[in-house]
Amino acid sequence: QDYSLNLSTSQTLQDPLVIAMQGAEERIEERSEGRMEVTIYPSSQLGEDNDVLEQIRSGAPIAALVDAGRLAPFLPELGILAAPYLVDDYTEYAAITESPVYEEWVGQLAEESGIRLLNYNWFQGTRQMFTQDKVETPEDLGGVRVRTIDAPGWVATVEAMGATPAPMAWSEVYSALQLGAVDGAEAQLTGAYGIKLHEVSNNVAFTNHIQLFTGLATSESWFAELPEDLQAIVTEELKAAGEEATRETVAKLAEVQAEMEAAGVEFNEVDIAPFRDRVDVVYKKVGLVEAREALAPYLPRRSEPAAPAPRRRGRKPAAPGEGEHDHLETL
Amino acid sequence: MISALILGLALTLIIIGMPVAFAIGIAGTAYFLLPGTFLPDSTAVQRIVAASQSFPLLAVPLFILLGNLMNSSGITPRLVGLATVIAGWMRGGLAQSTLILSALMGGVSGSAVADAAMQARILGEPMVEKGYDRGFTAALLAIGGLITATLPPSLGLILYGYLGEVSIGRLFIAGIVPGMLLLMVLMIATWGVARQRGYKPETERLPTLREVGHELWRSFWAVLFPIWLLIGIRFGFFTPSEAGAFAVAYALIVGTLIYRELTPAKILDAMVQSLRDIGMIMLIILFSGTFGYVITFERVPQSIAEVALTALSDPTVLLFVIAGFLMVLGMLVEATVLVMLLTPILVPVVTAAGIDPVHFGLVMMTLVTFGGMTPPVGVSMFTVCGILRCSYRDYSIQMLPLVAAVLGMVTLMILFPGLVMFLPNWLM
Amino acid sequence: MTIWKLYDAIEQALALLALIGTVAAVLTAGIGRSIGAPVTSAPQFAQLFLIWTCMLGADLAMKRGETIRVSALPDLLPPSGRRLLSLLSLALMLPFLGFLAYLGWDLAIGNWQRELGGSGLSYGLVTLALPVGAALLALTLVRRVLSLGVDAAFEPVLPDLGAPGTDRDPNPAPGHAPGLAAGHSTEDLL
Ligand code: NA
Ligand code: NA
Repeated sequence: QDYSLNLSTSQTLQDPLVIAMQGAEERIEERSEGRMEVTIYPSSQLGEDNDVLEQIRSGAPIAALVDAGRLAPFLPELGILAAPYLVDDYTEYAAITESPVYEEWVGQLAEESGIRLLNYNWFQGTRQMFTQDKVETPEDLGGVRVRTIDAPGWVATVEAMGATPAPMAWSEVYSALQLGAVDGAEAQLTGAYGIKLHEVSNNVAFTNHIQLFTGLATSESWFAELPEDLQAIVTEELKAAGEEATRETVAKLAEVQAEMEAAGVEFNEVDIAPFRDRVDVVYKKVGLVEAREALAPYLPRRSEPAAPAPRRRGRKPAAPGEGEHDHLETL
Repeated sequence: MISALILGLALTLIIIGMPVAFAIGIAGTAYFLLPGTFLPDSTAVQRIVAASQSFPLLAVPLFILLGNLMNSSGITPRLVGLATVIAGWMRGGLAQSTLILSALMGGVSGSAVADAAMQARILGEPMVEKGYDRGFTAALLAIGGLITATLPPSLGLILYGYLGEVSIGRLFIAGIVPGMLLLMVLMIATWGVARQRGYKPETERLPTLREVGHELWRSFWAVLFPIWLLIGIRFGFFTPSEAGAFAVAYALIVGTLIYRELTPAKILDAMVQSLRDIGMIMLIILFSGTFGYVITFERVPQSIAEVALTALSDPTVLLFVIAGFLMVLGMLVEATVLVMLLTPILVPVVTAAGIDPVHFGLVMMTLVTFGGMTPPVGVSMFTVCGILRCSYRDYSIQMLPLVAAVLGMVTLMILFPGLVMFLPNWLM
Repeated sequence: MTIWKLYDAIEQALALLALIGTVAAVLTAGIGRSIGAPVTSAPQFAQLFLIWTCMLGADLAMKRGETIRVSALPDLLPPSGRRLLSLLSLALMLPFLGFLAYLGWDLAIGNWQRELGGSGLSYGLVTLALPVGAALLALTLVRRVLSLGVDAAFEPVLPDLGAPGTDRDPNPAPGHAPGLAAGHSTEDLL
């Protein structure tokens, strides 16, 4: 083959995202008639996301599945894609990524950092609150130490929601919850199921605070050197894979929730409004007010206070954020 | 193919006497400089930095510092007194008490070599004077260190857990039963040797409760040490990766305020020594970051797993084959080096075969650590024989009953995974 | 010579600070969380101090020739053979350290905007430890070769490099028994 593309993700081999990547691998190799070979590296085998991004910036032929928080140091506006309560439902992200504002950000990112964001449609779930005692209001989170991702946006979000943020490695969450080093964790159901958080927590509140999307970022210089037809094949197939991964993830959600309920975990809906009101401060703190305004025309109208949160039950968890996380985190 | 060349280069450089850290680092970096590689050179450098950015890895420097502080804080000598009283009445009492001491030290030290060297200095000559064979004394003191290295905390298990992404907390808890079993089988083997040769007990009678109580009281804070650590972890005061820092603080407090043996000069001395120990061992871990990346990028573990799993479908058979392989390599190659090179390769293989990586970790670490106690190359052996001025030939002959005990124990661990796994499964 | 003594003393003092910082940061992380007031950037500080502890500690160890290596083959050879192997090692190690120093510097500068977790620190501070450590190690190797000769470049002899007042007491602590290893000068901590 003439070209090679290496796909990197923190997800494990069995994750729907990796399975979707395998589909793309097959189709890219077939459509390129063997001119391009694709290899998948799950479980952060090539390093944690920030390190892989660094390799990409040096020109490595890698595309890494990262959340927007990782890209924010290069283009702060992109941090908005992992901001709390940005939209009500994961399906609303499509409107964002099709907007000219987003297009402009992607171009700017490529120019300034050498990173080409190929797509941003890999949904991993909605972030929810795993605790020992039932949580219904921000007050219920008072004094509760909640494990979150070690990045400013995440820490600020958990704090704004009323809890005490306690960042730690994803690989340590299970034992920390079990032994009481933390009292809760915020995570998406699928990721939490992967590390068996249902064994060490009693309750999941559907706080739906962040929609955890990720996208494939690759090297601008490598991508620019590809023949046009290969560029098109790669772009199309990886985008299609993202859509497939999202479908699979959403389908898996109900399944995971049932498994967790069978293990004795209680699930409860919460009135999202008081939480949502509190996170405005996050946008100010991490400097995303302007970015939100820029996106405003493309965001669906808010259903505003009234409705508690009957919408999506069992939607997934998840939301990525800025900065560093843990190695294994699926985030 | 390329990875075989890289591995060959690393081994060649090690054999010509280049420091191991550099041999591994240079071999890994060579991959990036090959004309056929389209990965950026800076990735080689990045992997070295990235290797240091693991929170659980912090346990390595912390426990090294702890080991050095323990020796100057008066904790170690008190444990010696306690062990002598507990085991002195048995046949070969002095020998038995060195094994008990290894177990007591096991709760705080993670190093077989440090344990063996300390005991050889304190107890070696006294044993020979009491009529114990010099070779047997050396072998017993060296192999006793295996108990220390298996009981938590264990530097080897920390390294293994870090490299294989296996829970260090579970590994630690899994080490408790094998550590106690090792203590038992080695005591039985020692009893057999003592009986055959007529080694006497130290004391005429069982110790009185009063005597035990007195020694327990004298060493109260030292004995409390491991218990205190386990309680701290169990009740969530700190995570397993943080335990080392709390242990250091505890050793400082006991040494300065309670035993009053730890002077500022001694603390400084222990810290400077620790810095060198940390640098020496961590440089290997850091430099092997590049090597590990190459192994991963070339998908070596997957290829080996495919071959191994096709040939050996039964996990127990596979485990025996790998164990045999590790034992032979362990006799020849340093434990640290083996762990660094093989953990990232073997963990995916055994996991794919359905073997719990915690179970495998205990088997692997026991064997490679034991390799350091056997000829032809073994640091524990060199250290103890050096201190006791005993010939390697004597040592090798006298060690045989103890070797049989250790190998029997490893066989049990392989055949009955539950021995290792029931505690961690039950507790975590 | 006094310049070197000063240099060695400063390096050791910095290494001690890094070690103390590591312990203190981990303690802060654990204590803060137990009392319900987690210090969110403590783990990042621990990891920043860790890499500096490692690189500076590695140089302190190298100064005294305390390094893990297998010397069985060199020890079998006559002095000329030993010198040749030593030269070969040095000829690879020095350029390797130069490579690390050069590219490591590039990397540190190149990703200065990358954050170290939520701590507000730059990841460049972490990366910087490698080029600095590599330069120090190269300098140490050159000093050892000049003062001890090529064949003893990695031997665990106590070199007169002006190690400032911290020589171990005559009874080395357990675990460190320099020079006993017939056919082997390795130290192994496991
Ligand atoms: Na131990
Ligand atoms: Na050996």
